[in-house]
Amino acid sequence: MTLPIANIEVLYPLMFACAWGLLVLTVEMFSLSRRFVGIGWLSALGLAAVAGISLSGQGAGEVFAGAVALDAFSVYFYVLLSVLAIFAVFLSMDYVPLAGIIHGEFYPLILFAVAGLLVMVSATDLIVMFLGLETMSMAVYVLAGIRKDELRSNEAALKYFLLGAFASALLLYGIALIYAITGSTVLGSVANAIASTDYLAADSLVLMLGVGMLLAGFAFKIAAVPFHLWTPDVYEGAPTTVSAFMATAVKAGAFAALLRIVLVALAPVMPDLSWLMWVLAASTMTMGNFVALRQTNVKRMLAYSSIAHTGYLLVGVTAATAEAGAAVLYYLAAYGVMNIGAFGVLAALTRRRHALQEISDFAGLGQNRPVLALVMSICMLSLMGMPPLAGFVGKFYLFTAALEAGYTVLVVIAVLNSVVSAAYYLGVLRAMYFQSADAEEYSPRPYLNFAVTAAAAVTVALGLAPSPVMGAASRAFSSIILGP
Amino acid sequence: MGAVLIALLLPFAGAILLNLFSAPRSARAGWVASLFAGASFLAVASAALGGIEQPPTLYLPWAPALDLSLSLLADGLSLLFALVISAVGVVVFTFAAAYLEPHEQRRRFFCYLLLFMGAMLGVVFSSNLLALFVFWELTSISSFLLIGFWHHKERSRYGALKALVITATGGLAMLLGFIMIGLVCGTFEIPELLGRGDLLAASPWALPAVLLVIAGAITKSAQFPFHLWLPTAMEAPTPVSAYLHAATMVKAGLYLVARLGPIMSPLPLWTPLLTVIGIATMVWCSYLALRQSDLKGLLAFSTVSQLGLIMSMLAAARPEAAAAGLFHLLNHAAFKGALFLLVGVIEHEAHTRDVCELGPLRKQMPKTHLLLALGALSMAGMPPLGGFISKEMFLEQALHLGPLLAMLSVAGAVLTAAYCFALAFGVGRGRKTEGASATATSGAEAPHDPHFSLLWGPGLLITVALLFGLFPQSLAGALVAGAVEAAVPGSSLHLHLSLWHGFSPTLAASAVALGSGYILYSRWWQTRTPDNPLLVTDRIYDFKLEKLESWSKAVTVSYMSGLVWRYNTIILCVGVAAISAVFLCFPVPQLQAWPARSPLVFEVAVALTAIAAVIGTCIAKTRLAAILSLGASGYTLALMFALLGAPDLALTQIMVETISVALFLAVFVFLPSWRPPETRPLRPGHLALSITAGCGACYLVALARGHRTATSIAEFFIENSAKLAGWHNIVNVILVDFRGLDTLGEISVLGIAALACYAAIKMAPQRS
Repeated sequence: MTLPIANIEVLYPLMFACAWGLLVLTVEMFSLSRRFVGIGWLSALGLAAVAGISLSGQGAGEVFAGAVALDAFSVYFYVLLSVLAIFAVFLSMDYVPLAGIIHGEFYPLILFAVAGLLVMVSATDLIVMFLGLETMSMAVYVLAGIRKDELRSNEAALKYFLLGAFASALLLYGIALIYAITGSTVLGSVANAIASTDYLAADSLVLMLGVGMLLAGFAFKIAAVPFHLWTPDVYEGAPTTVSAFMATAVKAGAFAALLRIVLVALAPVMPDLSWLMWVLAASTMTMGNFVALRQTNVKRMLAYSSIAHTGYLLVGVTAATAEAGAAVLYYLAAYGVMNIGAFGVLAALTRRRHALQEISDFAGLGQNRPVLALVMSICMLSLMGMPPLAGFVGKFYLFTAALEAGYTVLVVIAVLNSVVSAAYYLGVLRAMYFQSADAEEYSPRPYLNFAVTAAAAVTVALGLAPSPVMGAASRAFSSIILGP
Repeated sequence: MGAVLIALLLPFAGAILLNLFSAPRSARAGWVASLFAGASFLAVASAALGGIEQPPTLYLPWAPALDLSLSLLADGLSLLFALVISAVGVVVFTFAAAYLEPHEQRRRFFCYLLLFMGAMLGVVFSSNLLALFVFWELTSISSFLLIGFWHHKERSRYGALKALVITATGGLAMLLGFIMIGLVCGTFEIPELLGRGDLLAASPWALPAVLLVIAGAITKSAQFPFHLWLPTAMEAPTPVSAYLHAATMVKAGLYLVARLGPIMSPLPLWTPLLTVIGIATMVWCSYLALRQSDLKGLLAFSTVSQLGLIMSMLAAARPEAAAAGLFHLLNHAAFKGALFLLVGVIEHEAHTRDVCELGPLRKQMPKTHLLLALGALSMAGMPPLGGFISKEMFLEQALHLGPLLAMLSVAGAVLTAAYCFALAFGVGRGRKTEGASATATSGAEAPHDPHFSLLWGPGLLITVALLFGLFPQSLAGALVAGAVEAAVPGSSLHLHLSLWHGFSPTLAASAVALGSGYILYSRWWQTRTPDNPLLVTDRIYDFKLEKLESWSKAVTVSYMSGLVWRYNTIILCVGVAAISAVFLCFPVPQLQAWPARSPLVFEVAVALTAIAAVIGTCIAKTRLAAILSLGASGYTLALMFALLGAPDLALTQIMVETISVALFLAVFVFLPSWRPPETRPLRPGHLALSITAGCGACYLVALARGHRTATSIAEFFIENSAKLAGWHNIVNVILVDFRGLDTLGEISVLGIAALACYAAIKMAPQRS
């Protein structure tokens, strides 16, 4: 008997990720030590293999009647997500024992979350996308609350779950309404259905409501105003490496899905909705940056900064041109590594079961731990958009594309926001170099140090030699708009 | 071109090496840094002596997709600025090596200073607008670090942040302007842009681009109304002020104006706006300089005013004016750098730099005072110093500017002369004898001339200023001519710099300026009390910053409360508002008529039970009651499915409900006991919101129901179940055939859930 599934190799990376997650879970179950570092290595190895498999399977086509596709876009995100997850795993290999997380399911959950993300970014069908989103969310809800004895961690998980369930309901409702109008959930067919008949005139209300709910659901996942409310509390309460994973990989996955929806399925209605994206982008970055100004907790500050960056990324989604799309893809990579570095430094400052998170905790870091301080400086300056780092090139790419598409005012707002953001990023630098404190004794943290240094190095490299990633991003993006 | 690349890389290399191999307070750091600066100067000088014949650009691609490249260009203009930067750099580095106290963090200081020097050289050698921006921002960052070097002082942190906020904002504005220029002209390479000015002129983006680039230039060069950051930046250590805020960084704006002049000056507003800003700054800030009591404050405002003068000359984009501006720039770098260093020496020795507190300098520190006076006189435009020649050239050009601007220029020259005389003769003459002399009260020995290591630097610069006056043509003629050629391409200027121009209206204006300046100094300045007026722009800046902070705090407190119910309220409100907006904007379709059948009694009963169960969940007093009510609502839903003819759905619902209730019960045993808070007032607002949202959702369902366009899938099954699966019971066929894999999945899920239930139940007693 043969399975009636053509192009099953499209699913290999996905299937591999799920299977590897189960394998890691099983191995962990039988490992003698609860702090067995090999589990981390095993997870990283699996993630690297996912990236490798997806690269080798590029261009395999679609499966399940166009529900999942392994196009250049999927492959770009498969690789990006795997890399970000590997970073998160390496950060965790030192952080997990430090934070007193003794639960074996930590690494498997990361793998399952990655599997959900992979489904999400390669789905070309709204329902499948939703499945991926939920799979990922379930794993991340648990990860956020994995420090069971920590009240803040509990709170983070519960909040994320309650508000996330809300968003999922909205999303599903939106999909249902869109299905009611277009008779399909496959992205390409939805676009054709919207474009071929004059839906805008006849049933615009129901369609618009559906689109609005869909966007609201995604606005929650990417933490856009006004659905960003959970972000600071959850990032603060969750274990630091989980926050790092959420801020980078989860956001990248959600943006990938959003791009597919907005620029493929909803392409025919987008010209009428660009004002909505415009407002979303402008309010998100402004809110994120202005609230971040007053934060004294670095983790919360980074959460608001991630909200602000959602706003910058939305500038690219608003512009909706080929360059803008490619710029969003590049920016997600740049944003990912610099944020991993920043959260990683926070994780590296963890004392036994006690995370140092206040800006004042960074005092004197420049003298006491020069390498960590340098990494943090690179990440902060890059987040700020300082040349020649990755953040600058990304912002430049984004804003140029938006300017070319004619969104001058939005770009001006974004530039002003970058100015405001400088104030709080520099606050960390000021504490590290302009204030002094006594040196602390730290246990050796080889994996953490390696991971943050690597993240900083990638941030610099992406800034100095952006061409390869930029090329991949633009190929990836053109693969979805030229496709069916 | 190799020499230029070396000159550019040396400071960066020095900064890195110093950071790696030096102790934080190493006394040698300064000398090592000076070596790097000196080597960089030699490289620039050799490039300048080698002439500009060789192909003037070097191209290193960076991000070709974005037209971003690191390309270098070394024409006369770049070389003139680079010479100033590196030459003053060497003097300042050696001065600072002797000036910093042994306990200071010298490694850090010289790292920043080298970083700054490299960035500055990068600005003037960049041939790509974006690379220029990159280095431009790097100068802002390193200047932030240098101004805040004495970070234990509140004022110096304030000044550092202010300088950064203003110059970095201006820089970003400039970047926007650059991007516009690049998008219109299709390139960011300056040499290529030169031929495409007409493209820009024809584009609607010409005006915004001009304004944005001007914003960048005048924020960096501290021109009115952005002159506020320079005086507060004077909290920096004196060598930093001399280097950044007199000789180099503030001249980056001037460089930009000169560099882009050929492209931008044909555009509207460029020349008039910059000229007016320049002259206004010159007059207003020289007046403010007169009112300062702090020597450094005086020098800061005088710098701003002199920069205004040069700005107005460079903006004209005429070869004669450009020559005047560029030659004055050279003079200014020499005498102003020296003056700052001398003030540093005075502060070092006398522990104050307040005009009213300083003792008789001429007696206590004769050499220092002589140099100070010479520098000030050069700035005043006194022959035979270099300042005289460039001031003459300026006045000659200013007379072309129309009567109002010409008069203002002369007025500016008068005010300048006045504060220069004050600086030369008024400082430390014991004018305010009763003012507590800091040196006397502190009991320290009287101030005296410092060691040679602190004096030779300023002495050298003053000598240069003097030589510029005596041998202008042979020392600076070729340099200025080369720069003018680059700033005003195609000009044929036969520049001849000389001390004596013969009798002319300019000479008369010069004499009037000096004379009236002296009168102003002797009649007014000597009798008034300096009041250090607070700038209006300063107040605006502070107010804005305060507003920003308090607004941010207000938002945080009110909005980001951390309470889930408040978050949900906000999200629901937004949702209701958005949906209402959609209803207002689009035509609302008709609701389809309901099926004409009156509901049966038990249907109503089941529905009412479901509602009661939901309400019960909300108001339950114990956790157990809440779980059971929730289960009850689920079961009634299943009943509803069964009544409406969907037995398979009902069955699934019952299974799911059973398992979830069981799981809840099994798991909740582990949780600490819980009781609802004593007082839970029902908020009417929340109730209204919930009801609105719920009813809205119902209405949407009803609305969507009537707008189905695709054919129902039921048709397919009715038609095909017998044909393809050989059975007439559609539900059965779907479950075991069409969607057999789904069913398998569901069974597995239920099985796993049952196992989990079992595990949870088994674990439960261990705790109780």
